[in-house]
Amino acid sequence: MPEAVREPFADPAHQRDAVALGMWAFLGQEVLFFGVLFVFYTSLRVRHPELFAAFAPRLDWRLATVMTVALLISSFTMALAVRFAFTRARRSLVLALSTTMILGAAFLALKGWEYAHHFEHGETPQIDLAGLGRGPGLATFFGVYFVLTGFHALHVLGGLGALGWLAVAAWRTPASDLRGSPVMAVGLYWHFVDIVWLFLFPALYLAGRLAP
Amino acid sequence: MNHESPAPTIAAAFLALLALLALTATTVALAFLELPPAVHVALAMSIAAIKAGLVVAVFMHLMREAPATRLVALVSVILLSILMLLVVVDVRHLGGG
Repeated sequence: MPEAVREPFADPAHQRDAVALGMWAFLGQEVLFFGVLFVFYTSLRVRHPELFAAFAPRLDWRLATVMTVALLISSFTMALAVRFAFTRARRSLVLALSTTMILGAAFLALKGWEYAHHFEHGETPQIDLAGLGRGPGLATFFGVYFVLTGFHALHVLGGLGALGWLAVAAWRTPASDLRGSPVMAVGLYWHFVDIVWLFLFPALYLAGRLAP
Repeated sequence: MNHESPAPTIAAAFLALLALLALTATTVALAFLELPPAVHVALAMSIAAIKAGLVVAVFMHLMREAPATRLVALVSVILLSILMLLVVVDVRHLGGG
């Protein structure tokens, strides 16, 4: 039995195509949102490379590598979830969604731990009144760091909410009524957020010289 | 376009994951090399772009979507490139900022 079709769509394929187009249009806007943040980063990095040489080594690239791996595996399990949603494999779908959520939550937990560590060491984006006139310093570097990673973390949090909603819906819905399109839409969003991190990781964590 | 699942097969998704993990290891290893900073940035961002392309092509199955959908994705990347290019030209060569 094909997926339930809503007005004004003629058939499930038509409906799925419309969901994909809408989602990509939304992600196009998200590309430009994060693009502006990356422009902020690029402008600062080009004008003040010394900031990155001095402060990027304070970021923990080992931890960030673990976080990268967690997000990559979560994208893999998300792709499986989309497949299971379309084939109506209900138990596998709930399992794949839950695994994706656990990996996303692990990413956020590590991020929170990292933030706490930075705050303990005074690595915060405060306005450095005493340092005015001496050029940008630690607070500027960590300003960029917190803005970029903070907005990314908020997107991960939003994705977790959507995944939770999908998992509960899949749990309550009989397999024959499962719909693939909503899972696909959330999947596209989740993969996009993963891609943003794939650029943040080298841009911030690998920007300093990594001494062994 | 697609009556069936648009998602990759489990085997294709797993291969993409392995490639992404290998590229992650590569980019971390390259960060330890003694290279000019500009080369470091170019290498790291190229690898990130390849990883993003893999995610888009395999996990996000963009090539299986309708032409209008592919166009929307392409335009957003072109706009971002123009934005980034002009800002870099300004900051590096025109004394902007």
